Amino acid sequence: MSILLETKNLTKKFGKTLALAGIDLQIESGRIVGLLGPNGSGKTTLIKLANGLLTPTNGELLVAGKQIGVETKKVVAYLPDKNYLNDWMRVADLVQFFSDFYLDFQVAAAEEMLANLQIDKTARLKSLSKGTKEKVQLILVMSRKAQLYLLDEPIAGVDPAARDYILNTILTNYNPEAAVIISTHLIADIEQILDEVIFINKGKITLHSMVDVIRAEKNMSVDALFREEFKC
Amino acid sequence: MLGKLMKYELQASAKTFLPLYGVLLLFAIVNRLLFNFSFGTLQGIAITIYSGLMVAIAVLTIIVSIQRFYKTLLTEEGYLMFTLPVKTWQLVISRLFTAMIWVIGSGIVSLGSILIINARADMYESFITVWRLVNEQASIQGVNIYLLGAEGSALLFLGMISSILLIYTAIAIGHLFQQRQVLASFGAYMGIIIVMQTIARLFVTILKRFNIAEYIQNLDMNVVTYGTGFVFIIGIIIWGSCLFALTTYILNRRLNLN
Repeated sequence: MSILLETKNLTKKFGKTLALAGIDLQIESGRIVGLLGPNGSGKTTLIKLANGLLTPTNGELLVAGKQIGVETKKVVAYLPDKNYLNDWMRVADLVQFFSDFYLDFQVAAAEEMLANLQIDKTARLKSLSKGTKEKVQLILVMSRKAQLYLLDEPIAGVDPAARDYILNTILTNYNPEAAVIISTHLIADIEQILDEVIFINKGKITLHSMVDVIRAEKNMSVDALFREEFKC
Repeated sequence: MLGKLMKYELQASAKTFLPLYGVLLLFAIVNRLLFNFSFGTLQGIAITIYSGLMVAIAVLTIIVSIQRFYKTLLTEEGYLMFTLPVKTWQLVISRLFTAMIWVIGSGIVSLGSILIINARADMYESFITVWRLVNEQASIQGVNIYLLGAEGSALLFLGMISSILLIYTAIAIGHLFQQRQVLASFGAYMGIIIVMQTIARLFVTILKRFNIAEYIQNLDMNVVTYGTGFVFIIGIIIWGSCLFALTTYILNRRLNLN
């Protein structure tokens, strides 16, 4: 077991707004972790920092024991919360693009998932629906044999049937050497696959616990606990 | 990795440029054919379209090189580019080289279209004549036109590279601001030019101080001619390297994609 994500007093400010207020966190391999919090709690900020898309204001962040750079990008598979792929490319071009740049990309796995979800490989991305685009993005990300998967709202835009398929995909890709962090507020849907949850609110971690412990100690589901904790 | 980055950059921008190049060359041929028959109005329309295309290509070459840098690195597409396992300098240089390929490509195609419009049977002979005259003049003046040509081309080439880098740097500096990034980029562009002029003026002042004019007067004319070009080349290389380093530094250490 190794620590794949570690933060020490990680702080991020946007102007005067404090997005992350000195977070200390350790995520070990072999876990599927839910990063849960209301809108604007700092979930996306944390994930973007781990990808080097934001620069920390203060503190430290290590992925697989290394500072963010080419070496960490090789082992992180990231699904952003927006459409970040080139619209003019065909699905098959995107598969080629990913296999060109990521040594751990498995073309066969991607093609199988595309076939299962009946996505036309010759279609241009711009001709696909919003939900299908999201599926393509997720397939590309999950076709990598990465060490750390950072999935920002992976199921928000897709239908319930595809949602089940995607969660299944995440589970089957489960690898004792890897960790998966899923940020979402659709907790009920993903609760059954989570090993560990982190509650985050106003840039602070309010809870970091194993799911079994929550169920045993508080005798409630993560969803119920979330609703109680973040009651408006 | 640099090769792969460039491959995708070229593919993405080729969609804009190649059809335009094709249409420009086509209209050059149309104009050339119409000259044979002298159709008044038709000829007027054809030459207007051709001129419009020439301007469009010149403008687009500049706009696309700016837009590709900004769009692929500092908008949503930046999420993809900055999570690829490549160095930041490779991202910058792949965009710079691709932009230069299109600058040169647009230049060659525009020149080619002019040649097509003016095509005559004896054109090749005319070129030979002009070339001979240039050579004759050069030997009378004692100028090595190959060396001078090489220096001139290098200056032109490096000048274009540093102009593009200046725009990249301005965009990167604009990115440092939370709000009004475009305005900040324009401001940065102006600011850098002022800095550059100040440095140049300072340099001239220093040269004057050391009575460099007197020293130059005693030099051989050839040394002055080629030497000046050489000094400018070195200067542009240093200047361009500074801009490149600053752009890469900002994108590497101060990136904040929204």
